[in-house]
Amino acid sequence: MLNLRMDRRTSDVTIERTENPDELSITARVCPAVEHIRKLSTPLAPNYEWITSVVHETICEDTPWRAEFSNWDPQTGACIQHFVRKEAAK
Amino acid sequence: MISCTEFIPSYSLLFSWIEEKVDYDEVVRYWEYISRNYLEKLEAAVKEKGLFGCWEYWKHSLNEEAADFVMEMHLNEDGTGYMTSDMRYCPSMGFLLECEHFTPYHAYCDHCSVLYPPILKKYGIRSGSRKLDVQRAACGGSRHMDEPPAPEIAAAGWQAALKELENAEAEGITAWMD
Repeated sequence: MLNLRMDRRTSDVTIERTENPDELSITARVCPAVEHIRKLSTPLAPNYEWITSVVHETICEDTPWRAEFSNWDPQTGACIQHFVRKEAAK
Repeated sequence: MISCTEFIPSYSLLFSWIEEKVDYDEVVRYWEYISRNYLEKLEAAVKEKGLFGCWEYWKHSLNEEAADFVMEMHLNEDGTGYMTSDMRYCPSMGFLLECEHFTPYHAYCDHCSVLYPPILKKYGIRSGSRKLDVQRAACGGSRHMDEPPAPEIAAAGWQAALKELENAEAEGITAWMD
């Protein structure tokens, strides 16, 4: 008999809204893409995190919003993605 | 353009509206209509590969929906076997429970029980009883191929399963033979 077991958890990413309506935080404890690359024993490209940070910054260009990216861990892909209204950040 | 998750409240509201206008049986008839006309991918998969088609279909759809689940497949070379699924958090029902601006359709989860079993039954796959915990957006169930399908279907499923076995590690799937 051939047996397969697939176990997927989504709780590794949380999206949080604070009481401030002008803020949104996405906390990724494990990035599935980075996890997959690590499992393949393929080296992670330098600046891999730019996929997220640059895209978010570009999306926010010419909008009232600013994207921030922090706590990047290239081993797990963990990071904090933060969106905040520019006026509110002042 | 809206994301696929945005359709979930629309489905729920549509079900509520149909029941309000007619009755629950009419909602079931609507699901039966969807089952007959919009599940070509599932039907094609099980028609070609038998029980393993179920694995391929739900592996794709549950990952695409970012569900929180465990799925197991136990397949014999003659095509018999069974598959189990433990949905720890259904993204669809979970999304509805998080919505505060409307009440989810009271029998939303019933649609899965109406949509899938009739198609699977056509190809000799029996659906086991379903455990449901609506308030936790959790459910569990099983699919069984009790009798061997046609040899070409068993062979196609077995070959696809062997390929899955080869790629299992890269995909984060636990695989073993016994």
